[in-house]
Amino acid sequence: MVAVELYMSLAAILFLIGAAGLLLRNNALIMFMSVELMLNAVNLTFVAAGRELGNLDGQMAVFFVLVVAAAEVAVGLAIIVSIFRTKGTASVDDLAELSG
Amino acid sequence: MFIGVDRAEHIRERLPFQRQTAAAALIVLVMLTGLMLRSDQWSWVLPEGSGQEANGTIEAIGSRLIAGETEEEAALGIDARGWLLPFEATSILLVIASVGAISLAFYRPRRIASVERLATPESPSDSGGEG
Repeated sequence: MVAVELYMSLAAILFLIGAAGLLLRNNALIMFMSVELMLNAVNLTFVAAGRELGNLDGQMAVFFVLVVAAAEVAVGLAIIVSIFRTKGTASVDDLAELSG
Repeated sequence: MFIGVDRAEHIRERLPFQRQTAAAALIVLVMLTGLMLRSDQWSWVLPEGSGQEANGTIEAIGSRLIAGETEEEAALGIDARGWLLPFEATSILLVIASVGAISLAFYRPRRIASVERLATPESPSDSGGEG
């Protein structure tokens, strides 16, 4: 059995990679993927902590996080594709105004 | 062509020093995480557990979802509420998300629709385009 500290370390590193992508890129699609990476890092901590504590609630939380992430991907990708078709760019710096 | 991913990113920024600030925040975050990983003080992340591994079988998860605590946990005096209300709220969320995604897929701004109609005058007008 792998120690729980290794899972937590891996999750922290994954979260850092996601945060780096979110902070340093300005393409909306890449930022979206980074958010998914951060969500999955948190999922890993949930599962590891739930296993360590002998509690099933961690896996239940992962279930709901996955569902919400799926809903977010469906709507967010539709929005990004729609914006790209309208404006021809997906850079968040070029999408600074709210009016379509 | 993949939603602009292959294009070079703009270096010029709308907000001054935006990228430098982000990089500095990232460096601080990396240092904090490194400090946390090096410290070996996991007690504030993970309290002392029961040492008993949770069996993540489908059966156990389903009974936790619907009925709350399992029999062993009830014998131990653990009172766990079920996850039934979040489960039902999730179904509403999924319905809203699917409706939103479908309506966004069929939505076409009037400007683009008219351009497409001009480009292909022989094709009948798109019935789904008037979202």
